[in-house]
Amino acid sequence: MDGLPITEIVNMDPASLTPEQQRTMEDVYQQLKSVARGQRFRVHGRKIDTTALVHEAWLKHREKPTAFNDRNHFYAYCALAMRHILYNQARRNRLVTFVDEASAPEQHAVQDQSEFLIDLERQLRALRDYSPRLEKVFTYRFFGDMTLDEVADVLTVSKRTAIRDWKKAQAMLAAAGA
Amino acid sequence: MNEPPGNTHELWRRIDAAFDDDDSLDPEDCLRQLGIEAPLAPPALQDRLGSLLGQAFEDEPPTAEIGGTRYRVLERLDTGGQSDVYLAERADGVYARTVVIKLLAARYDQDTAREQLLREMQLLADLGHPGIVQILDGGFGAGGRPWLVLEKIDGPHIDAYFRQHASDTRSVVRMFRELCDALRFVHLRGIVHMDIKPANVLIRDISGAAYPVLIDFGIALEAAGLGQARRGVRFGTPGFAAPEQLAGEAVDPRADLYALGILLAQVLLDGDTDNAGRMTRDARRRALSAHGVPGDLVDVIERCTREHPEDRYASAEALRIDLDAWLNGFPLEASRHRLFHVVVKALRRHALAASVAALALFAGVAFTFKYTMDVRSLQSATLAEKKQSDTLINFMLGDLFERLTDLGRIDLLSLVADRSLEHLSQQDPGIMDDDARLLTSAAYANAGQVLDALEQPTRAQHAFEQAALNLAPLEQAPGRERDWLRQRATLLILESESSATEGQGAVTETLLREAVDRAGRLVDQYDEGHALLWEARLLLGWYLMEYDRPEQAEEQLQAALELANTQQVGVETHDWLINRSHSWQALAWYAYDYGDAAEAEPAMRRAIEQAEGAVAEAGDVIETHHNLRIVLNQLAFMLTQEGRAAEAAAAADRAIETGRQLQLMAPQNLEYERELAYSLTTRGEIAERQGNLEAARALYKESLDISRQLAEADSGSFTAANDLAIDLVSLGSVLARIGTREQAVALWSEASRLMTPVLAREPDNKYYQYTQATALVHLGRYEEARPLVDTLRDAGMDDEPFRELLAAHSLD
Repeated sequence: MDGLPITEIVNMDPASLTPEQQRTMEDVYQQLKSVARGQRFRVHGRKIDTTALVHEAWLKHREKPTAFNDRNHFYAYCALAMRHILYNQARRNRLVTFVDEASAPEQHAVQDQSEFLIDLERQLRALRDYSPRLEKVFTYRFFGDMTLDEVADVLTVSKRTAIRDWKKAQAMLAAAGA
Repeated sequence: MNEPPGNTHELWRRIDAAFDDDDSLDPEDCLRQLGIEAPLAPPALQDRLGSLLGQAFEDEPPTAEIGGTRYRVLERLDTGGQSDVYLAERADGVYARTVVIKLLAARYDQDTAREQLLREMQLLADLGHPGIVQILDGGFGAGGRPWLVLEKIDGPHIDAYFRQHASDTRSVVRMFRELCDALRFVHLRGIVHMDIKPANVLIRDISGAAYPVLIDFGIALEAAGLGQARRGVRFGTPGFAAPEQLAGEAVDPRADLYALGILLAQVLLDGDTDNAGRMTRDARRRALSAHGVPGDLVDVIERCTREHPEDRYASAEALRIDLDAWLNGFPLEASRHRLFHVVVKALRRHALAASVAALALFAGVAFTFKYTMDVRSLQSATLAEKKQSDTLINFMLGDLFERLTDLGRIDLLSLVADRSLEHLSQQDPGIMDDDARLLTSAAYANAGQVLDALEQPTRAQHAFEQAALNLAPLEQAPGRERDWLRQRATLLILESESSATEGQGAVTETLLREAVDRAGRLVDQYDEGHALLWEARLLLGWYLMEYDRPEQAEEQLQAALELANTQQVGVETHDWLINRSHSWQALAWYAYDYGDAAEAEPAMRRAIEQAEGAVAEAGDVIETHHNLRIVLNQLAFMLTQEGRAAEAAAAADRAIETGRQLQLMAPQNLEYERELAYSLTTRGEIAERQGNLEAARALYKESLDISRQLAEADSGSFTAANDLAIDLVSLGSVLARIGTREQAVALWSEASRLMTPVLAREPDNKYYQYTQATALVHLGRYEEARPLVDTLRDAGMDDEPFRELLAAHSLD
């Protein structure tokens, strides 16, 4: 990828992003959305196939002449953008009052998942303080559906290290949530 | 904040170490070994967060519909039959601004329909007015659904606002007056809102003051988008939409007035009904009365909500004028008889009133018209631009008024005043500093003066009110006392002139007393504002004379004269010479009416002396000639009353001569023409008394020609008709004495015919009664004349010529 070291912008606090980083994030965000709007990603009810989503976004992205030319770094950005999108959505959901009884079960799931995500975000920020790399590995894998080969490539570590980090992060986050 | 609890941190270290020891370890085993019972997060996002994902990526049609990447939807505010409304923010990082996005329901697939709608959007986007929600962006989304991006207005709906804020009927009416301004602005651009209701009027707080904002032009847009196809399509909200709108017929601005009337009723009924428009007319009226809403206001609502548009107010402007009138305690439009005309203009034959009129003319300030176009382009001004534009307005309305008054073309200022008020009403009070407020206040005051001169007293009153509002913050502002005093005194004087012509005696006195006080402080503390103090005292003196309080009047007039006499005659020499002339003139009338009558003539001659001085000093200034002619006329009048015919004739001749000069200098000034006719009549009366009937005939004839011309130019004016009738009667009486009685009868008959409709409208006006009585007596129609004659006698209006006339007809 060009210019922007993604490893430096895992920080989820929007205020800490430079304008250029915000624009890049925004760009990826919009690409994901536009891909998600395509019919084929909506086949299983409300479930979104994030892997397919991200890969499709990359294919579309390649048609453009500039920005990312490294697929794995693009995926990493997608993972970050996804985390950002979902976190913001979850925060908004906390402020919404639902009155429509008919949609209650679905709304209940949304509220539950929103709480889970907000909790996860808090733990990820703690994890970043403990070990930035662990936080990144988890983010890429979980939010971006990246393979551990891809994660290792982006972080320039061995695949073995990436696997170990992923297991560590999973265990740590589970322990923190207990 | 990101620190995990101490034990978590410790756990993490142990997990870390465990994997470093053996990286083939399974996470679940690791946790188990450490005695932790916790499930791992599912490895795939969609398994754990499917619903949230779905919501984040699917539940967002507007961004898809608005096709761009510029806006990010935050939440859905409302979904209705006509549209979906979302709260959104700019998403492209250009501006951090929260907006409202409205997605209209209709789809536009044809290019022509789209173009039509886009044109209409542009029209709406161009509506820069603080009372109208600003359209920021718009276009067509997927499937041809139009979307609009709108300014987000923070504030409650109007009904909620008045429920939260304990407020009286007056503050409700004041709010609706603002709404009328916004509506007028919209209507002038050919747009009808078509959906005025509580949910579409928000109250925005600007620096502690509440302003209504009209939102949601969605229906207006769709209706326009349909173009010709619109006929037969029904829009609107039941109860609020006018009958013709609900019937799918063509609508005009009066449909909005219907909805506004219902809205006013709804707010005044204060939650007693969900929809005041669904009550019957009678039920609504009863409910309003039961709520203590004054009858006049119920009438206003009634008039807004008539079944047929032609029975409603003609425009938002007309409605606002009536709301103004209601607030000011003036009669409403329907019962209004142009008080200014009736009270002031009718008095023109009365010498005192003539001087007051002259004074009002003189005291006027004013402007030119070559800048009218510029005002328009100053609509969305920054503060710096705003100050510039206000300065321009003040130049036009302030400095040029005087010159145009002299030229008799105040009508040219009508447009400037309209545009200026429009411009001023669009200014954002939130961004003003003290200088801007001062300029705005001055601009409103000047506009008020022009409107007053144009005989639009309620609009003038509104402008003065705005002037005072804008000025108020300066009273307490440090270092601004001088500015405040100056502008406050100026405003009070202007307002007093307006209230005096409206016959508001007590108000006038209060205003003038405060003006004397403020201007006095300005003179004492800052050695400026002498002219303001002089003017306030002189006007107060006139006022007190009119209300028969001679002692207090003399005190003010003497003080004014002393002020005028002690002023150094400097650059604007003629100004103070004229001021002295006015002071002496007022004192002459004081002596004539209340004091030693013998002192009246010398005082008037002193007035003439000063007036001549002013002409000598600045003969190219029209006003100096005008002033001289007035005092000559008045001297001639006084001398005639004393029977000093020769001297009176000399004064009248000079007045006529000056009048002819003025005619050349300002051929379009009707006021000057009137004054010349007055000189000619006075001179004619003198000649008639001297027995010089031929000369009298010629003079009356010339006066009659002028009066006829003026009556034609101002058809419908009672005073112009009255002036003409008086000249007809006078000329008739001379012709009768010369022996051409047939002609005389024709003239008297014409006079009587002129006065009949005037008296029908104004039966109690003594001056009109006098004219009609004279004509009827001349014609020998004594039975008709009798009641008028009796009334005039009772009122003491039977002056010397009148008694002579009655005697000649054996009616005394």
